[in-house]
Amino acid sequence: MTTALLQFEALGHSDADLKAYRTEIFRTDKPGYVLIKGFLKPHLAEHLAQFWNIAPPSPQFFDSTRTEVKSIGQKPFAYYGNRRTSYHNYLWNKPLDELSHGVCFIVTMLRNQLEQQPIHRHLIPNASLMASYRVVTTRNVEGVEVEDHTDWNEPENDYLRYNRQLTQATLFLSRYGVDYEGDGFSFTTNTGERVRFGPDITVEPGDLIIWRYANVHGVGSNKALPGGLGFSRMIFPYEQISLTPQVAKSDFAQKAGTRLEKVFRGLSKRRLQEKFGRLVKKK
Amino acid sequence: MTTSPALSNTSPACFSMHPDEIWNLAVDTDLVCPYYGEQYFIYGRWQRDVMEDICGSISGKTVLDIGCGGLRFGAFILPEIGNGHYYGIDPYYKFLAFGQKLVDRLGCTGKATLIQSNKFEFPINIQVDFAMSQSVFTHMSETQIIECLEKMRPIMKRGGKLVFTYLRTNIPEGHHDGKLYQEEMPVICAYLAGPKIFRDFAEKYHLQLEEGYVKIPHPSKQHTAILTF
Repeated sequence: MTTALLQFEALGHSDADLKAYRTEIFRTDKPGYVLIKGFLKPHLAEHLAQFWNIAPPSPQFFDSTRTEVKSIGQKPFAYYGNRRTSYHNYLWNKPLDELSHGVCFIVTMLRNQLEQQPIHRHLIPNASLMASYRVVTTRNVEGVEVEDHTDWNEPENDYLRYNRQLTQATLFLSRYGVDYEGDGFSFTTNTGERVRFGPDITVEPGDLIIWRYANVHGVGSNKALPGGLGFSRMIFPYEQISLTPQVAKSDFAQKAGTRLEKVFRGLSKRRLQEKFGRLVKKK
Repeated sequence: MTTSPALSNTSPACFSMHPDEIWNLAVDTDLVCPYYGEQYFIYGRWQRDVMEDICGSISGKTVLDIGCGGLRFGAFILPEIGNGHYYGIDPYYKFLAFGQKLVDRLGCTGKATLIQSNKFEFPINIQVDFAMSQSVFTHMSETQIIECLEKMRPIMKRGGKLVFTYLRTNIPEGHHDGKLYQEEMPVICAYLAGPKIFRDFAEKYHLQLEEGYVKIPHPSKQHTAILTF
């Protein structure tokens, strides 16, 4: 494995670049994404591809049962399948791969710059959305891997309902036509056109797209070519977490809680008041 | 279009731009702010409705819009305001640049005076009937709030009204931690200011303070109060 030092030029986007990117992503008559060619140098992209596909960390580092992120401190999650693997990493854990962690930081900071938000946003647990990163490799999925959908476009959520500024990013780690064939990653532009990264728009390992999170996107059928890695990419979802510290209950407290719950289950508020009222009077 | 649906039913006839137009105008000004889409209309309409409820009408009034930003309030009243009777003040040049574009777009160029200041440098030769400070005191220190109120006193007509919003509970978990002014201005996150400082100010100058205006509820449930000078 090559030495992978993150180059600082990945952070150095000029104000003019950022403004141009914003226009491409956010104006309703523009594509809704920006493709940054060579965001990571080839040897860095290769490091990521090899680390997660050729020599991934041992399963002991992962929880393979808990898909939903609830609170800070949760272990990384891994999904192992014949057709695809997916490693979900959270920033509060010790990095399994330093470069991957670093890439998540710079991608999130770039998204923050584009969204004109504080640079630390989603990187430290002072609000309920935390950045995370997943390395997903599809080897053989026929049909649809991820249905077309939108994220953070929730009518019931005051913050998200009309939020047009959230972005997501995809960092490509393998090469279409060499490592895989199929639909690649599909995205519906701001003007309603469906584009496919891989088959329609050429992307190389190390290329990054930043795209409007609320636009329709999905992953169709992709298949590894002989000797190829498959369709490998890194994505950077925000996870909704609780900021309330999760206090682990002792066995005793848990058992006592369960017994008390059984005693009081089904009792009305009035009945409870009567019960406790009697106890107080007896005293 | 894949953006959120238009809210044309919430836009009064006097201001009928599509939310996409507002959003694109903001992007062209290099502002990417969630309040410059559908929410522009929700908050703008609320401010207009409150003014109409309190003043009876928009026309004929001199209006001071404190923290006018991109004229969310201004856009909804300018068509009915007399020439030179709208004053908007804000410290951030990008908001004001956006506001000026909008004023021109609405054909109301002579009606608005936009002032860039973070020291509440209001014009000294005006007499204001109605002032609005919507979601502004929530981002100011108490020192700033008092400075603002003190500097308003000489320019408010007797009986002139200030409508302002404030918070009485902490921002709930999950609320965004978004910044204002792209870190170019010293603005603090939304916090609890009041109601004591408003009560003290009203008492000091024998002004009438009406807390808990609820007739037209605030879109994000901030508390609304009316100070009569």
